[in-house]
Amino acid sequence: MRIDKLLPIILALLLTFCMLSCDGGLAPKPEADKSYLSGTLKFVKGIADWPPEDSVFAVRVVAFKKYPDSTGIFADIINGNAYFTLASLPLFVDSSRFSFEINGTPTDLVYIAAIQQFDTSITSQRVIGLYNISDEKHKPSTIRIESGRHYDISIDIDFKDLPPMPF
Amino acid sequence: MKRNLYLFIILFICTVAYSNAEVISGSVSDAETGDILSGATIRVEGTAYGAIADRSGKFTINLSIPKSKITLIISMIGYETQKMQIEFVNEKIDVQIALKSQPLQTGEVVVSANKRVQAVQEVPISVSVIDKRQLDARGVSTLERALEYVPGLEINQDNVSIRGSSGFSFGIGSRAALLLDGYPLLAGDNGDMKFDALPMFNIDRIEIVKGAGSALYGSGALGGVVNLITEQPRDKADIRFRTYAGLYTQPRLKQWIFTDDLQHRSGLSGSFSQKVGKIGLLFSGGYYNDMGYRAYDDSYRSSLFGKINYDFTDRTNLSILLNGAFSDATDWVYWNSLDSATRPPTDTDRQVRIKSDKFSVFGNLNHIFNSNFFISARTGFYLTEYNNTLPINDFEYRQSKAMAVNSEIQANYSITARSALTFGLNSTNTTVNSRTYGDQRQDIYAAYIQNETKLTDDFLVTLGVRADYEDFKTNESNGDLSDGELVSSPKFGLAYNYSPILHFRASAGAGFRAPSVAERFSSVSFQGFEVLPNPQLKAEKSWSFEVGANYTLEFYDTPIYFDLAIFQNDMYDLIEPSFLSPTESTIKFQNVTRAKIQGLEFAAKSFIAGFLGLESSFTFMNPRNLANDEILNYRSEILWYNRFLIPYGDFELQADYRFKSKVKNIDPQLANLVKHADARVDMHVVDARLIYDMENLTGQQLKLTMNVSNVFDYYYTTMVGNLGITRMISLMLEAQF
Repeated sequence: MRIDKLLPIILALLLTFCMLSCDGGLAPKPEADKSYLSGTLKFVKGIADWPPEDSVFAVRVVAFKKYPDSTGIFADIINGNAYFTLASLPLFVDSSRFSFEINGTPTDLVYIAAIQQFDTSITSQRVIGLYNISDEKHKPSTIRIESGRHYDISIDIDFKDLPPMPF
Repeated sequence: MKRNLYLFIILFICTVAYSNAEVISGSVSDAETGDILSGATIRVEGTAYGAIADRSGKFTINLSIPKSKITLIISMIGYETQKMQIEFVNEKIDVQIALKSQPLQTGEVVVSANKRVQAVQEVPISVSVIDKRQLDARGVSTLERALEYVPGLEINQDNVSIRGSSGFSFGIGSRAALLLDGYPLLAGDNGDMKFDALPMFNIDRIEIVKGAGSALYGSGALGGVVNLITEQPRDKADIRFRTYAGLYTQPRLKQWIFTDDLQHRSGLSGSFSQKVGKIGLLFSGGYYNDMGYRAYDDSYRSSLFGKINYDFTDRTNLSILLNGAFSDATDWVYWNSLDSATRPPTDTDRQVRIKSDKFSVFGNLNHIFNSNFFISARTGFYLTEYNNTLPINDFEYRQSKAMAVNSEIQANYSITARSALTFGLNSTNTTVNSRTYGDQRQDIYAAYIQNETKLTDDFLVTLGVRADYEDFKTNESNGDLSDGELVSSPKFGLAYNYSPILHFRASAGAGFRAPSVAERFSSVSFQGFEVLPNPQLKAEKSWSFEVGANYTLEFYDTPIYFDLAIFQNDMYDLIEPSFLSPTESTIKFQNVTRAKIQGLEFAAKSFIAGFLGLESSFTFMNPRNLANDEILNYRSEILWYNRFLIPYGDFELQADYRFKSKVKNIDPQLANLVKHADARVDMHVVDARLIYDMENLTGQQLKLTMNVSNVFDYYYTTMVGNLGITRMISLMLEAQF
C-alpha cells in the first residue's frame, strides 16, 4: 500500500484521538453540587467598640475541620485543615457578611471563629468571636456540611468579652 | 576596568598583518528548479569563516588556508543542509551548490552546543532548532510563545523548564541559560528570563541545548541553554513590516465573561537592514498591546533593536547589539476562583501596575589569525529595572534595578586536522540597587577549556571543564555571609556517525546555578507573608546524562527522520521558597530538594507524498523529589507535541497540537492559599494558521496569515490558579521591500 493511501487513515485517527481527548477542559463545579458556609459577623457594641485602628489589619472568618492545637491557627490554614475568607472582611462596621465554599463534603466544622490580624504578619492574630449555639457563651459549636447545601450562621463579637484562644 | 582589558588586548592584536587570502566563490541554487537561492548560509566547518548568498545567489569567502582541504556547510530554511569538501588546487575556487528542497528541517547547523559551527549530527547532546520560517509563520512576539512547541520544553508561567528542570517560582532563578547571540541575558537581580525583552522580529533561529551546559556557559545552564541568534544585515537595502490584530473570543462559560467588549491584541514591527561597504546595519522597532483574556491582565510594550557590523578586514569584524524593551503591565498573580477564573481576587487593587525597562548593549569582536586559530572577545551590559506603582512607603511596594556586566574572551584553536580546542575566560559582575533586595553585588569569574577530537572520520570525542568562582558583597546587615564558592563543571561527549543515515551520541555534563540576588536577599511582605533573606544559600548543582540516536528511514521514497534520547538529570540542593516552620508565616529560599529526572524523548518528522509535513515529539519523564519520594512539584510527566503542514500553491495550512499531562503535585501550602488550586487537567491545545503568499498576486513580497490560537477553546491552567490562553483569532500581514 502506498503511503499516500494511508494518509487519510492517519489523519482520521489523529483527529479522532484529538476530539476524544478534548472534552472542553476545566469548568467550575455545577452550582447545585457546591456547599457554602455563609454568615453574619455582628459587632454587638457597634463601631465604637472596635480597638484602635493601628491594631486592626484584617478580620477573617476561619472554619476548622479539627480543633486547632498548639501548632497554631496559621499552621492549620497552610496545612489545609481550615477554610477561610482570604480577603479581609470590612473593618470598623456594625456587622458584615461572609461566605466561602466548602470542598470535600460531607465534613464537620468543629471550630468556626472570627480572627483579628493585628499587623502585616499573618501569624499575629487573636480570636474575637466564635460560632456558638449552645448555652455556654465561649464554647464552639460544630456544624455538619453536606454536599450541595448552603448554611447560614451568625457570630457575635464583643471586643470587651473575647473568647479564649483555643490552646 | 580590568575586565574590559580583554577587549583592548584584542583590539591591539587585530592590527597584526596577515598573509594573502585564498578565495572561495560560487552560487547557490535549487536542485530541482534551478532557481537562485539568496540568503543561503555558507560556513567553513570548524572556523569562523562564512558568507550569506546575495540576491543573485552568489557568495565569496576570503580565507587563509595553510591546508589543502576544508569542508563547507551550506544551509537554508526549507532545504536540506549540505556538506561539501573542497580541495584547493589554486588560490581561487568556484563552486556551484544545488540544495534539495526539504520543507521540514532535518540537518540543521548549530553553534550553541560547543560554541562553534557544527552539523547537528556531530553534536553529542540533544539540540532543537526553531528556524525563522517557523517563527514567522507563528508570528511570535515573545519568547515563551516560540518555545512552547519545542520537544521536552514546558513554559510554566514565567519559567522555562527543559526536560523537567524547573518547576514554578514566579520566574525567579531560571534553570536554563538565556543567550542573545551568545551573550547572557538573565536579569541581574531575579536571575530570570524577561520574555518580552528580546527582539523576536529579528531572530534568525533559536537553538535549545538540552541537558546541563555549565561546562561552557556557566551559571544558569543547569537544565540547558536557549540561544537566540539574530539575523545578519542584508547586502541590499531591506525593509520589512509586520502588523497583526486579533480578538479573544468570549469564553463558553458565562460566569467567565467579564466584559461585553471583545478583548483584542495588536502589534506593529518594522525593520531596516543594509550592508554598505564594510558596515552592516540592522534597526528595528515595535509596539505591542494586549488587553488580555482576563480582567486586569492588559499590557503595553515597545521595543528597539539595533545591530551594527563592521568588517575591519576579511579577518576582523566587530558586531554591536543594542536592545531595549519597555513595558507597562498589570500585577496579575492568580485567579479569584475557578468560578471566576478570568478575574483576580476581589481584594486586588486594580490600579497597581508594573513598569519595567530592559536595556542591553554589547559588542563582539572576532579575529581570525589563520584557519587554525581565531578568537572572539565580548563585553556588554544588561540593565533591568522594575517597580510597581504603589506609594514608596507602602509595605507591598517593590522596586529593583540591576546591572549585569559580562565580558568574555574565547579562542578556538585547531591543534591538528582532527582536534579542536575551545577555551576562554569569562566574568559576570552584577550590581543591584533595590528596595526589595537591598544594595548587593555579585561577581562570577570563570575559565573554561574544551577539546573535540575526531578519533576516526566518524567518531568524535569531546572533553571539557569550566571552573566558576562566585562571590558577593552586601551593604545590608543580613547576618553571616557564606564564603565565595568555587564550582567546577566537567563535560564528556561522544558522537558516532555509523552511516550517513544513522548517528549515535552520548554525553555527561555538570551544571550549576549560583543563587540569584533575589533568592539570597529578598525581603518582602506579600499578602501577610514575609520573605526573609538567606545569604548562606549555596549554588544548585546538577549532572545530566544522555544517550541518543537519529536515523533517517526511506519508506516508499519518503524519508522519515527519527530521533531517540534517553536521559537522566540528577539535581542537588535545588532552591525552593520554604516556610521556616509550620507555625510561622515567614519564608526563606533554602537548598532543600534533591531530585532525579529520568526520561526518554522520541521525535519523528517527514514530508509525506509531497504534500503533508508531519512532525511529532513525545517526552516521557519521571521527575522524582528524592527528599520525600514524590513526583516533583509543577512537572508534567508526558509532553506530546505535533505539527502538521500542508503547502498548496500559494497557500500553506499549518496546525500544532500540544498535549501535556496534568501536573500531579504542587506546593501544598500554596494550594491552600489559592482557591481551587486543585483545578488542573491534561492540556490539549490546537493552534492553526493559514498562510497566503501574495507575491504572485501582487508582485510584492507580501504574506497574509490567519492564525487561530487554541482552536477548540480548551480550558486548562498554565500554573496554579492561572487559566491558559483562551481562543484568539488574528490576522497578520507581513511585507518585505
